[in-house]
Amino acid sequence: MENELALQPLFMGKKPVGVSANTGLTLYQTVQRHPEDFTYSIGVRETHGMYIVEAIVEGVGVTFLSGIRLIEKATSKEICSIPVVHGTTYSRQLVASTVKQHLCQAIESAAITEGRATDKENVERLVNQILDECYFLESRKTVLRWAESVGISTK
Amino acid sequence: MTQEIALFKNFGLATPSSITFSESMNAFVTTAQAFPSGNAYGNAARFAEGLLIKEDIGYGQPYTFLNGLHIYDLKTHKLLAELVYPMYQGAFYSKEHVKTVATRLLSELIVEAAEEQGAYMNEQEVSRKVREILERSFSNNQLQELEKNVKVLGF
Repeated sequence: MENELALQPLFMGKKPVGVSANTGLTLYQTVQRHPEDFTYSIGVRETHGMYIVEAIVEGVGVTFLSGIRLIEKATSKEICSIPVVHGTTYSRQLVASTVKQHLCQAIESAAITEGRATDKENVERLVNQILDECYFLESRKTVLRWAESVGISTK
Repeated sequence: MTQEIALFKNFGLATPSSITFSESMNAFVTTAQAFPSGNAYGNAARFAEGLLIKEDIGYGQPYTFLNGLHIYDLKTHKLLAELVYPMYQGAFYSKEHVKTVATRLLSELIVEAAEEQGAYMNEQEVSRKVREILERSFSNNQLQELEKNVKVLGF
């Protein structure tokens, strides 16, 4: 419960403060203590009834991932909190695969607790599809437009 | 210079006042920020026919490393593709390596995007065309490219 209350003010009902160019993340909170210091930010991605909350630290020439939380949109309940090793450099591929691993585990654990069987492969396939869409779909759409504009055509 | 600053700001490049044009690199470089480890980190950016390629560079002793590469669509500011090396595991820096990585990232993304649309594209052919574009763009005067993009994009 404390977690839920603590998470709410971070972004729920708030307007984004910008987009992080290094991550493509919509930012809701940003703190920089000194102009030459790192910028600490909280950003959110929304997909299929779930918020993926990412904590990032951006400096000159480097961006670190410092934590991930998955929250169910309808209830604001935390699905899982994912710890990240200190000094982990940020890439969307890394975040997507980390989220996939933990989300699949969370689904499997919940199913076991409720005494239900899950098709592990199917869960992994669906989770992969959802995350791929969330992280990379826009990039693929945009790159096709660019490719056509420079004469690399699918036709 | 205000317009140029606005353009660079959209791609997460360091404090705009610190961006200068390096004739020897034929690229825009930011002032490197020193870390207590003794290394310094900075960015370099180049234009390539509607794209901006941003490099994360680590300046160590005695080598320079490529720590990451981000490719953006200039019109939409969207992050198309990135490759980020884990901390202290960057590749030795060279312009050739930047072109090779950028070619691979773009070609793979284009082919994937085409497949998603149900179209088949020959990856080797796409890769050859992308490489040609990058070769041409990297040898063009980047200062002129900046001026051209500022006009075209209406900054």
